[in-house]
Amino acid sequence: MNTSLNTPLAYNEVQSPKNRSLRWETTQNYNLGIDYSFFKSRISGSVDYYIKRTKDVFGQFDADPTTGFNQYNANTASIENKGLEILINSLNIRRHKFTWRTQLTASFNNNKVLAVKATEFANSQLITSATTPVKGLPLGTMYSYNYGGLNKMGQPYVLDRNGNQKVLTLYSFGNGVVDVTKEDLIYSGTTTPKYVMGFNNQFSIGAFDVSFLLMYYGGHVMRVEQPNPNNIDSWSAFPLQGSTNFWKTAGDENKTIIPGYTESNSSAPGYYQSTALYGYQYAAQFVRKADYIRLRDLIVTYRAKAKFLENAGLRNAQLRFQAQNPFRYTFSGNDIDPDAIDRLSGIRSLETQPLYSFTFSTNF
Amino acid sequence: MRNKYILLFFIAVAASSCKKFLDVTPKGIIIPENVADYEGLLNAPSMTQTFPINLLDFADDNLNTFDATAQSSTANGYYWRSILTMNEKVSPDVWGPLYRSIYSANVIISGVKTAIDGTAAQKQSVYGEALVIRANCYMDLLTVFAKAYDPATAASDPGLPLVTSTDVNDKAPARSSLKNTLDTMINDVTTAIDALPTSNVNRYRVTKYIAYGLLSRIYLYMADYVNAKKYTDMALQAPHALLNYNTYANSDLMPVYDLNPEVLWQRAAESGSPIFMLYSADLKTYFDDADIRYEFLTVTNNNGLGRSSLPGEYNFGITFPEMYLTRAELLAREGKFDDAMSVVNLLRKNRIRTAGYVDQSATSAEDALVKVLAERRRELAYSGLRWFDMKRLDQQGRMPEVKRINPTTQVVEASLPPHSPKYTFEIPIRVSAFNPGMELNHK
Repeated sequence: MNTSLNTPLAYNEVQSPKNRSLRWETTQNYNLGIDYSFFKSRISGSVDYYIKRTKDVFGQFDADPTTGFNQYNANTASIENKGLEILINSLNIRRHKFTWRTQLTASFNNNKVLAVKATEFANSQLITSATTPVKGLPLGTMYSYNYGGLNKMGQPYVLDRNGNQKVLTLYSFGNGVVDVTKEDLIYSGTTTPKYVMGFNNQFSIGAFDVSFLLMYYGGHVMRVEQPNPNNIDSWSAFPLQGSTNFWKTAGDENKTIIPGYTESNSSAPGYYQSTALYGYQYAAQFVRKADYIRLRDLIVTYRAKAKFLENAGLRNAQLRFQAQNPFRYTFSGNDIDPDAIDRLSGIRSLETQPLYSFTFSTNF
Repeated sequence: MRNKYILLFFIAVAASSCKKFLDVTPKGIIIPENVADYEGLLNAPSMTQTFPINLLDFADDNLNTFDATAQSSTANGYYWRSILTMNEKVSPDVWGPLYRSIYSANVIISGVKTAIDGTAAQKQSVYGEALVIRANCYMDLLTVFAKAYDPATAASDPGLPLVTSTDVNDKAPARSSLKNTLDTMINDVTTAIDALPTSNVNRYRVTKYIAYGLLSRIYLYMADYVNAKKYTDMALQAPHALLNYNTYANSDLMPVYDLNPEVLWQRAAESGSPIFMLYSADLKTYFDDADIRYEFLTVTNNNGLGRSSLPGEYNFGITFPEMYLTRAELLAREGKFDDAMSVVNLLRKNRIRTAGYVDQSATSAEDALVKVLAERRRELAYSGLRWFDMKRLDQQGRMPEVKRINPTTQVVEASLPPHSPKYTFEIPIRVSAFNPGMELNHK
């Protein structure tokens, strides 16, 4: 008879499953670069062009749970990155009491998935709600539904490539019934910025130093979450403004595109599965350009050289004001901070807040 | 012009590959090769915490309330909605964790025999334990994702994909027939018996008697009463004792499950607990004040009558009282109703207050069966076996319609009529997404 107390026994657990097809990730890197300097180094910098091909990129791969695992590490794709990086330093003005320097950095990246481990998903919900690599397209691929609105019963529907209305169902696969396929989805772009530019300026005017750094990110897209009463409980903690304007009764479909609550009884005529809400949540209509410019840093320093300070024994006295992220402009509409959004689901988080600080420093 | 300029020009080509690193054994990570490495897997959570807690939600023992729009797996299970797990990105409830356990079992089954050390007997024993645990996982899966066993259609009813590969690149096999699934389970457990020990390091680890107990369950599910009786009797030959609840002032004084001589096989749940889960109005009707189980195993709070527990890690495995009740049921089914009732009374003496105790008797085989099943309901409430019982009893026309009635509004929120297709949940969405050809339960 087993009488021993369940004393903690040492155990082994499988951490990663057997995978006979694992290979090393290999990278080929071609780099062409120029460092330059002109006018007594008044202008200097570099230009780099690169082509980087990474084969068998190692990453998390979705698995059939029947294998025992929901994800595993695998060689998932081959990716090509082409890009140009430019750096320009320039000393624009040098006078006795006034100098102005600028630094401009720019990077342009174009990446493309060359090959990808066969994607197992025929299911449109899995395509729109994830950035699965797609051959021939950049990483961070965003696919969207062509959301059509609501029908007379308040069911949210999407349009397929022929303009037919489809209310999405869970079992759009497996049974030979396919609501929409990848061909019915719209390619919205990439969620990863293609261009990044930085522009730094430094002025010194007498006892004052002023510098500021502007950053620009562009070439990518983001989806913006729409008011959705169904999301209040699950994804977003707070209802978005306009959430109450949802479909309540027949006729509302002419006034709103916000789905209401489904019937709790699945045999009721207006019933729809939660899957149907994907058509609204992941719609192409709510995708916009994420290009934005941000003033990252503004620093003003005053080097005090007043006699009375030195007499008091204070040397190198400095008064410094710094503002971090005081300004941001989003080209497609300034209500969204592209740094504080899940670009795929469109769920927003707290915007980057400006931070101001005053510093007085001295030696004695 | 005195402009000086410098041009630096370089081209770099790099390619890296190094096969040798593949052969380096990483530190702190084992690639199993010794018998002890495989045996260590048997103590792992994936092989001891195999009970799918969702089974408690499906049972008529349970009372719950949900928001009308709730689509959690708990709500879906409680209302017998065909899809249990709505989120297709997460590991699906019941299916995911059990196939994860099956994976661990398969690592042992496919590897331990070629371990570099250990005797043949040691290897066989570890191998046998893995076979039994895998069969038990399939048993739990069958009650959720396959129809109840009907000998007339079992050969064509879909059962489960029987996975043997441990390589994640391999596609899941198609669903085996229900009959073939059960035959494979029986064959695996029977094969395991010879090499299994009569006792083991703790109650989570498999013994011969546990294998008999599992066969008792499998044959009972298949209504093969001859074989069920054979293995129930063999399981009851294991050393055990029934605890007389009369001798304990309260449940805190009772032994922890790990030391409880009523426990044949311990199975824990990976997460979740039945503690504070509510007794349904129906379940409450089975108890009276003379029943010490009512006092020891329930707790009253604002929501109603909740489940309580004996000390220790809650057990969902096989117990000796279950084996006694199975024996009593089989005796009743054979027509030996007096014998059946004396088995029931043997248990009841240990559960009912001595002051209020009277022997139960039956006037016919059918009367005995009804009484045995009622006692089974009392003794095995929240033991994890009710859904299994509901499935097989419905197959025999012994399950009344089960209704989910809102305790506040008295509205019937869902109903499970006899022989309803809702007794079978659908293959998880995520599994169908990966296996578009896999046969579905609801077409």
